[in-house]
Amino acid sequence: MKQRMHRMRILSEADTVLAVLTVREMAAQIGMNKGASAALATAVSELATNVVKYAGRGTMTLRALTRREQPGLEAVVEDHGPGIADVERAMTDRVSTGGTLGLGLPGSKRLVDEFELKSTPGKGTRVCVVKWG
Amino acid sequence: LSAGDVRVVLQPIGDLVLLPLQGQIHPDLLTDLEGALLDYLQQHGARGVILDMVGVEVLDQHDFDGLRRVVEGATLMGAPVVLAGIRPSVAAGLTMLGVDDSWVRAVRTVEQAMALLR
Repeated sequence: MKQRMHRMRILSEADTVLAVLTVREMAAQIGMNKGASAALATAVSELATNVVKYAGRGTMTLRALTRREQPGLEAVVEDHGPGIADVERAMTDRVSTGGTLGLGLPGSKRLVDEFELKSTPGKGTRVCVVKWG
Repeated sequence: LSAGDVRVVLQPIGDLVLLPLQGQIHPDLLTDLEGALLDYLQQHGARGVILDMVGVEVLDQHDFDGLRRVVEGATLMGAPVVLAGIRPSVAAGLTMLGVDDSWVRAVRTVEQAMALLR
């Protein structure tokens, strides 16, 4: 029996690793191709790392989807952390000369098919991504 | 050297060092790896270091930055580093993340890396 949904807490770097492994495992279970699975796992790794770094704790909820017999995975990564004050800026690629890493949001968006970000300063951040394939 | 379920073993091959990376690597692991590698280089020295990337399927920008520190540290200690066998999923992911890869020397196989460093 395929597991259609999985929810886990993200509290530490070990959990970000576990989140990636969970995405890979569930993607394999539903027959997603390896490229799509790796792309989603990379995006989830970025998002989960942001949770640990900026919010301290959060959750990831994975849901298996089907569209015209094509498998897909939805990952919702959310926290009740400080939120993002300037979403537009966070979604813009910055050429970083000082070597500082941004939130990786524009890159994560490029890695997936659907990307939805909701953030309220002081309340938290919710990112929903979907990958088909 | 191990962190979680990931193990990295430093393998001396002549005057080179081979580091096969396996599984889901993460910044903490890479920090430990950097320490172990730099200690090794201080004690034994090496003409070069090969990071075998074949076992890595997912790498985000934080991991990539950790990798950069390993490479730069070893390079500063006189052992240039070559990355061998980066998977297409990793290459495509890093390209889409838009990382700076100007510090990377990459080849397809460990054999090619050995030839390059000898």
